[in-house]
Amino acid sequence: MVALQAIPGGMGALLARRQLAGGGGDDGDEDQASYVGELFLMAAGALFFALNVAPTEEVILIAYKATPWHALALIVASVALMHVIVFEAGFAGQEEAEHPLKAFAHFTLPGYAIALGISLFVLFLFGRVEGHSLEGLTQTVIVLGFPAAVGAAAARLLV
Amino acid sequence: MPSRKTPARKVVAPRPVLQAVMAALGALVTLAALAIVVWEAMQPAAPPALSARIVGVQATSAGHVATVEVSNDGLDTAAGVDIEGVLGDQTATATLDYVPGRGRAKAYLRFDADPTRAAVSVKGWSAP
Repeated sequence: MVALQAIPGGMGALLARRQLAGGGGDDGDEDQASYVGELFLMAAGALFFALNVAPTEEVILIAYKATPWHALALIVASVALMHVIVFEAGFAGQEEAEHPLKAFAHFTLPGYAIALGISLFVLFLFGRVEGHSLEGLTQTVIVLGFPAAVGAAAARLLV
Repeated sequence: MPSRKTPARKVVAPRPVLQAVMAALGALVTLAALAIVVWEAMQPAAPPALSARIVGVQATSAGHVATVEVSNDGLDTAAGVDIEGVLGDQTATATLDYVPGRGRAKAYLRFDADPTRAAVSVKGWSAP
């Protein structure tokens, strides 16, 4: 249990160091980050958010209570929010999208897939996969995928 | 020197092949999730249909423990599922938090004697 809690704890400490370290000269090094690095960053952000939310009962409760149409709306909302946070909303650290459709295909869609993959992994980690049908598990992954997607998007802005 | 507070930064150097592969993979995963959810939405409504059976018995220092598997053949999830096992004049009960739609969950009932021939049943449940 300590080892599990240490993962988001360690990532939080890393984030705090990055955000609160003051105006050091190495802040702009993301400009040299590779595409793989950007994907890794999104995975880390998704993992950070998903690990904090997955242990709560609310995730599976929402998934059980939600209809498939709710899940459908959640997929659309997650993908749209990811794209808006990184490319459109004008937050500090916003990415420049040379072509909105290309940015959507190259970053937002892979980012959402990563968020869903991380969600599935975290649900497995907390024993919330066993005994579920494919559609039930998909719905739970989509529910946890929402905070994971926001985490993936936020990681690209914050780090 | 660019800072992280500078809006509209330059995006990373492109890697066309990897980006195309990841775009296809991302689209595939997202479309698969959409397809499963749409397929589920097209299914006719099916309330929980629960059944219980003993799948294992273990002798412990505290008595015999029967492992009961509860299956839900309906699409909707059942919450607070009450299970009862009867062996002679002894009755054991347990409650499962959730049995997901088209899924299953396990409960454990304790008996004084070997409960292999005990009768187990689902007494009731609520909506989540």
